[in-house]
Amino acid sequence: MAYADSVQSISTLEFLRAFPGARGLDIATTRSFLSAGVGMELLADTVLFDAGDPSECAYLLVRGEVRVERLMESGERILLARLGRGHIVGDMGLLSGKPRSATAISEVDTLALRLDRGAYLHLREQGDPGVMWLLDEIHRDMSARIATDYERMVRMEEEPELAMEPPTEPLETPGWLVRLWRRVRT
Amino acid sequence: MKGAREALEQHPLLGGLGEETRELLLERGELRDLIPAEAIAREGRPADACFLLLEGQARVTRSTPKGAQLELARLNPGSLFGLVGLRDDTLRPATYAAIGPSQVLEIPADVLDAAPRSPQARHALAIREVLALALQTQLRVANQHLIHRAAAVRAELEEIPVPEPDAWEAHTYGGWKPPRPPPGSGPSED
Repeated sequence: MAYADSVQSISTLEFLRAFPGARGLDIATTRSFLSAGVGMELLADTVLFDAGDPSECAYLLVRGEVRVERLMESGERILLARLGRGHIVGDMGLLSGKPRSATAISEVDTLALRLDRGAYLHLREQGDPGVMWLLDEIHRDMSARIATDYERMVRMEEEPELAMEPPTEPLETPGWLVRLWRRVRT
Repeated sequence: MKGAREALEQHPLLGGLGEETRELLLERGELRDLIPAEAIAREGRPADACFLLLEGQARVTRSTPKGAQLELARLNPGSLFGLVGLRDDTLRPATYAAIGPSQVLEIPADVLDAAPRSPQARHALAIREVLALALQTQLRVANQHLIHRAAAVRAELEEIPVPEPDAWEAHTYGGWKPPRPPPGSGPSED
């Protein structure tokens, strides 16, 4: 397995394409957010981190794909998630600093913005609006992963032979219905 | 509200919020007393609030295509739940229901809203961080449950002994824990 990576600059446009939600930020905030992190070009099969490693950073995926997996007691690996452009890997590193709970490996050549905990705390201290945006992204990402896990647990009960199959795509949500519901409630 | 105030102060995540932020949660939140089996929030509905379990126990379930309810987790006092979809258009992926008489603090989703650099922004930011941490906990529990179930299912399919789950009861995070393991595959809850 390779561990190769190299520093690579990420343009604002590339970043906004990967994270369309950041378009709500003003350009200066987006640039300052980008400069707080380090662009990393990760070759296919690079281990971003292993389960049990100390966690000190998160990776915002601009291009490529990363799989998140855990080793089972049987020695088999179970795929927990496959994350692509616009997803965040290892957010635990920013918020809790607890050891990594899973292993993350790039499936293909991947470009990511690595944000260290120190940089996150600095932005937070400055009241940078990019932090509010990032927390929303983390919230969305984890929501989708939890929903996928739940769907997979149900599938496992119904079709046990699919137990080790990769997770399906996150649930599709009719956004218009949710917005209508919220309007009715208020 | 006194009990809720104390629960917030002593909570491992919410206790780290400033006093003003905790007071905001109490001001905006609503106490709900629940009877056994009462639904707190239902699967398939938009997430317009999250909850802190103050008393009692709750169950997290998801409906299967065959119409059954699959238990995904048990919640104990201190659990923050109903967080999935609060910041996007995801519908609730599960139903949360009281097991016995219970009490929750219902926190509306709009406590997370604030214009950047406004006076409310620091409260919103602190609450968003706490909820993100709670979601991480929830994801860890879900992953743990998934791994144990996958191991059990694989063992059943290959007709080998079901592996002992490594201390199911120890897997509790902020009040969340996986549901009781399948019969014969681990220690009972009693």
